[in-house]
Amino acid sequence: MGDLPVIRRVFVLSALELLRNRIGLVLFFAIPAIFLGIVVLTAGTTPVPLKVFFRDETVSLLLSQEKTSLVFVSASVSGFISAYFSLVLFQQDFQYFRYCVFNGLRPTSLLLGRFALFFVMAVVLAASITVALGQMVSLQQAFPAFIGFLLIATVYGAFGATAGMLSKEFLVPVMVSALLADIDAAWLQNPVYYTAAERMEIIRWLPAYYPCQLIFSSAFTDRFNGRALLGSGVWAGAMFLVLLSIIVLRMRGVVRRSPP
Amino acid sequence: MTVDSQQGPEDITRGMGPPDIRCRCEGLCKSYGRKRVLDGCTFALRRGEIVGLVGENGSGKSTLVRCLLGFTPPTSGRVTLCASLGYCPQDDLLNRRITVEEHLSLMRAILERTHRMDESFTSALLSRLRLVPFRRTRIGELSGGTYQKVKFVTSVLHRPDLVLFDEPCDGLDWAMYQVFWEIVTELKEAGTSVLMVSHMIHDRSHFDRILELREGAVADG
Repeated sequence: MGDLPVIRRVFVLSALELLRNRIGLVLFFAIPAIFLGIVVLTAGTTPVPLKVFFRDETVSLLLSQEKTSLVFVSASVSGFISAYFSLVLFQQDFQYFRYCVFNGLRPTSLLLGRFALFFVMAVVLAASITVALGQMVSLQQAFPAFIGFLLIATVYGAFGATAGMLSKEFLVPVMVSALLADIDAAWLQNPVYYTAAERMEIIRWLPAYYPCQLIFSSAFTDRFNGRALLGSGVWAGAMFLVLLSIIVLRMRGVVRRSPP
Repeated sequence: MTVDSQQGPEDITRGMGPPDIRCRCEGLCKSYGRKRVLDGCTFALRRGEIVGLVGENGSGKSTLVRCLLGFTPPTSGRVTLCASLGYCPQDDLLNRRITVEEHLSLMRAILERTHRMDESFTSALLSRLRLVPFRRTRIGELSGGTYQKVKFVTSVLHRPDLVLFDEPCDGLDWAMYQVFWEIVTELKEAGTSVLMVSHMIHDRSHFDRILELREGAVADG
């Protein structure tokens, strides 16, 4: 295990890095404001059919287009913002942290400090989105909805960081994350789209499916969706393992030769 | 610490070699695909000696340094290091969003786990290199020369037994260049060994020995 003062220092410096990232801060406020604002300005109040999938049954609901869109857009926005921040957190100064490891920083201290901040970032993002959404839509179960936002932030955050670890460029993983968030969270997980979809198999295998189902079932029903929670947890855990493996692989040479 | 690429990475041992040998490199080869960059480099660095590593652009100097540090695994050959290391890289790898003070405090916190850190030595370095006014400046806002000085300070903060400098004087003005050499000479007198990649003709007068990389091999000049 790493030592606490160094972990704390890595955590604080990582937090400062995120707070000093002006583009990131602008995105944090601007993206939800723009997307949710456009929904408020354009969506109608006509009821649209919506399906929510539980383990043993499928619940059909009739909700206004505005309500449905606000919740689903919030989910996709959480995913994209989280992917961007984790990209900044894990990719941008990876060479610097390799250098720190060379100088004697324990990789566990680095990873604990970075992952702790990643988790705090996901919590802040999910809490902000839940609170903002709660002002516009009456959420049936606010806490499980928050957990859903937290899990989609975790899944997409881990995806963004993984894409960043596999590329030296910054723009490429941003584009890859935006593309996946667009196809998955912002298109195929749109309840208006998937409710009428012919084949759900592909949609069910995408990373945003379970977190979105958890968010929809918490926002619009009073039932707990254990299957969606479990599925989201499995996705989040799997993405984290992939990310961790890639970080460890990229650190290996340096760790092995760090000075006596 | 030793890595023998023919025997695999498990073969790492520490503290090998005669007491005054800080680094020994035997038959080091490195190829990228069909291109052989290093072709049997063999040399040793002794305690308290300043060795220049010179060669044409693309001759493999940085690759050799990276192989010595273990950042790049050699294709074959053996590197034995019996020293604590400092490294001043050529690359622009410092974290640009944190301040000089934040960077140095992280480095001190890391290094004091394995080295006895001397706060007065750090202060003296910052003062002599005129870095004190920049303590609260973000690294990304530093000029090229000041950035270079921060990298230099980082590499010698713990007074290592062996420092590898990869073109450390790029961007330094003449006054700072002289301060740089004063500090390096003091470190040498205290027993630190230095391997320095350099293109600067002025540096040659400070070297005890020059290793020239030619066609992948080292010629001791």
